[in-house]
Amino acid sequence: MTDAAVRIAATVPAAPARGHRGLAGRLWIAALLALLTGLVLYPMFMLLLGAMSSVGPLSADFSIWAINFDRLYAIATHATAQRALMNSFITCGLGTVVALIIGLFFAWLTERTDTPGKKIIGVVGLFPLFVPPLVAAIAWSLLGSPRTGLLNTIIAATGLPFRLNMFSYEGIIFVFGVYYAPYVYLFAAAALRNMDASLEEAAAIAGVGPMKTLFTITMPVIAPALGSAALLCFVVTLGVWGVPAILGTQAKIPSITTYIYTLFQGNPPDHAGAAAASIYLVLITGMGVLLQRWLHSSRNAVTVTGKSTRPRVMPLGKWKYVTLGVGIVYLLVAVVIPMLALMFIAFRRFIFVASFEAMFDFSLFGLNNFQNLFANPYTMLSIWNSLIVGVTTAALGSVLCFALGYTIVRTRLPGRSALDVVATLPVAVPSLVIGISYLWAWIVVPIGLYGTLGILVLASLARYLPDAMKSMTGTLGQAHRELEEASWICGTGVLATIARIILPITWSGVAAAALLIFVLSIREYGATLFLYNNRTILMPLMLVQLIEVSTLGSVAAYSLLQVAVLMGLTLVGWVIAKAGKRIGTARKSKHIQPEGANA
Amino acid sequence: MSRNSRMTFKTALSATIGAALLSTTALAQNFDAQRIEAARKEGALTFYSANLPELLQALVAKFNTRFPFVKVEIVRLANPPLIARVEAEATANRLTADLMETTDLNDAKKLENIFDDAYAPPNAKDYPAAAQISKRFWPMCGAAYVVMVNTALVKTMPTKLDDLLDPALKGKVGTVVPGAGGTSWSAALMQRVVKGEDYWKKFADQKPLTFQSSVPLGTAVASGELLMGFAPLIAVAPIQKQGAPVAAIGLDEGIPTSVTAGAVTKTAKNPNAARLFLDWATSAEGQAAYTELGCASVLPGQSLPTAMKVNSGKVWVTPFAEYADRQPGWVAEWNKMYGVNQ
Repeated sequence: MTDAAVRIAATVPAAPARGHRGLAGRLWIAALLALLTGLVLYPMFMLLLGAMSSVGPLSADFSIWAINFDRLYAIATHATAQRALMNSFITCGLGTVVALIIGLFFAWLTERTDTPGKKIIGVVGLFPLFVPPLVAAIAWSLLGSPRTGLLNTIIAATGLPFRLNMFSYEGIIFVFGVYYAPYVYLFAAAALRNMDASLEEAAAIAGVGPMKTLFTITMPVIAPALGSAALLCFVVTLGVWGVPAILGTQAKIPSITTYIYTLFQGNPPDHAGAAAASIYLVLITGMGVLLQRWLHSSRNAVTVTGKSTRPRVMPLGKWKYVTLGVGIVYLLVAVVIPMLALMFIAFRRFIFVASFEAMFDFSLFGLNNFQNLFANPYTMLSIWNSLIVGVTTAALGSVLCFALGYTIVRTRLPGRSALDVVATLPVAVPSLVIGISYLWAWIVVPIGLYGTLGILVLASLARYLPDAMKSMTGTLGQAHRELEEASWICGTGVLATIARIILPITWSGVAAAALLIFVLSIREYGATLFLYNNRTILMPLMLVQLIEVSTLGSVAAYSLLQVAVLMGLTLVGWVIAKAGKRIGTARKSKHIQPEGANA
Repeated sequence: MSRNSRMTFKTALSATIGAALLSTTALAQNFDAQRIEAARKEGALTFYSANLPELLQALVAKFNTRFPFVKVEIVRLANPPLIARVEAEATANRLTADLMETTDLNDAKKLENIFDDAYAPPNAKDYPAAAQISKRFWPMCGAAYVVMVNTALVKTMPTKLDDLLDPALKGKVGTVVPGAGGTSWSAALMQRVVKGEDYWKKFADQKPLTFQSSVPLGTAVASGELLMGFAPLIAVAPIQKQGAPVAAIGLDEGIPTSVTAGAVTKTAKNPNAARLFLDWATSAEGQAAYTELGCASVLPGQSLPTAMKVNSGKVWVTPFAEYADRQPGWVAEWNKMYGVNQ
């Protein structure tokens, strides 16, 4: 059981024994376990089987009686694999350091300073979440290619002697750092907001300066939260394929994910090798996740509870304009400049820019790339498919999350801990690996799932289940116990109580889980990269395909389209979730009203 | 309009209609009438292919102007996952493809048993022996490798392979790794077979940028990041169409061309539609359609694609025997020489 779930379960009363401990309860647990086995354990088993074979389980030559450790050993000792892993550690590690610096700075700026417009900066700091890392990598490759990158063309016009080169370690680290900073920001801002500020207050009374307080009091107090955020950032970037694929391939900087991709898609493909490398990636990621959870649940839980004093806001004087400037620069670097670069290439007939002056030759601008894009039948199909997969995954995911969350947090049924472990297992499995395991798991099962949108839904569901579970268990733990108990005392059954009491008051958590799954499943490509074909293509997969087979103008145009659709759909989802929350609140008030009236 | 002119108009109209009818009849005679009727009854076809998606859509559109009654469903994947999918589906007895087109002939050979050996296109004997892979796979698109040049930055066009060894080009040329697929392997094979063993070494000394696929190489040349590079013509043509300053140059030594291979599956649900498609694709008419889309046909008598500037006009058809035998060892050698980790 997750630490959060353990704490919540300890404070929440169990449902009546008569309903849950009986046969129905056991059958319920068995059904959920069977579902999770199909969703998580069986594909993982197939991956392991693939890693322990010589040919991969898809091959006609595969035999269960010939399993061995040869490929696992060969990959572990292969020089390219070792180099790829080392590169991943370097780029993801240093990228995390950059993300930590940016995220912490923004958290401090919005939570502890009087910087003008800090609320807007707080929102803006999350904008990079709307720019998928693959799109960001494409945009920065346009800006910083060594000879003809748009920024280099501008730098050349100024006569400055240096040039940027995004096809390098520095380029990958930069993109990881800038686009994963919001992950750190969210953790750090929450920790700063929730920490007991009396220590900072005492330091101020004792005459300690604001900067010294920051580094000797505030930072050590929130260090576990920062460590947890850093580990999460490191683990997430470790599983990213797009950034090293766009910026590292040309510079011959293989990462562990591009290495797996090359093994799988290579000529000839090495499926068993890809599975073996994936197993190592799962082990490393798993260790990172365990460490992250340990950090998140140990000191952090103690130091960031309750608050006796409101945090002191640090007056920055004239420096507040500097911090404001830094916030604006971040927005420019993370969102505005890359989007402008994509627009420049998308609206230009072709990519060649002879000089700085040629950038403003408006006769070369037009809508050709967009016309080509919309003439392609797969463009609209990808948007439509993404909608179907996003909505279906969100609907199924929120129902499953609620069922699992309720069972884990609010019952004492035997086997609920096993449910928790299995449901959160995919957090340690990079998306790309989920894709490979699903391919092998479902292609051989004659139920016609392979090659359909259904398998994309299931792979996305498995991958994003742990993220949504976190939100769901938290909400269920906060639900009032009295209402549920009152319902049982009145003789209402478990299902009716859930429908009438629990669901309305936890609607915001269900909606948040659904929205999170929806956004992730239409934004990310990893889990579905090996599972799609042209009929089941999704937006991020269409972008990957365009990168492989089309012109850069089309890639830029589609990137813009994807960002616009992502923002639009997220906004619609957010509005629906808000509306649902209002309805939930109204229903909750209706349920509570009689008690209030009696009082 | 005068009587004479009306007569003339009538005569001209009759002649045109007559010619059109004759032409349709003549074309129709190229294809087996019974097969056309059987295909009409099937009405559909599932076509697995590793060719470029835009090319496939355009090709199917051309096929459908000729045979509108066959609805072609394309399932497009890159070659390795396509082969993996076909193999897995066949192992599970759930192969849904009626027709498959692969860009790697070695892969195609491994799966030979799941394809129909009773079918051959009517003009099979017209194809050169080098392009005849087996009795199951038939040449479809001839993927020609050219030198893609940024004409805004390069004034003197290369004409020979040795021109790419000019020291002024050091670090400013590119190539797709031969391990990426059949076409890039064909180009590397031709360089070594025609120019001798040390050409690879000399070109490696030019410190070329290496790419895993042709599209990023095309982008690098089109943007001016590179001055020139070896690239398949079908990757150059769309960039040229945009108006970008790029040229596709066929060198004097020949234009390395490997064919994509098409085969009808033994378990095809629509065998007649699949055979009709292959009949059409391998015919002079189908090959002309391919040429229009940027493929270099290996069928004798076909003209070269207009997108290509050719010096010699000589197509170097990749000999399959060498292609298959040399591939593993020579690709590994190339990777080591060029510092490519695969």
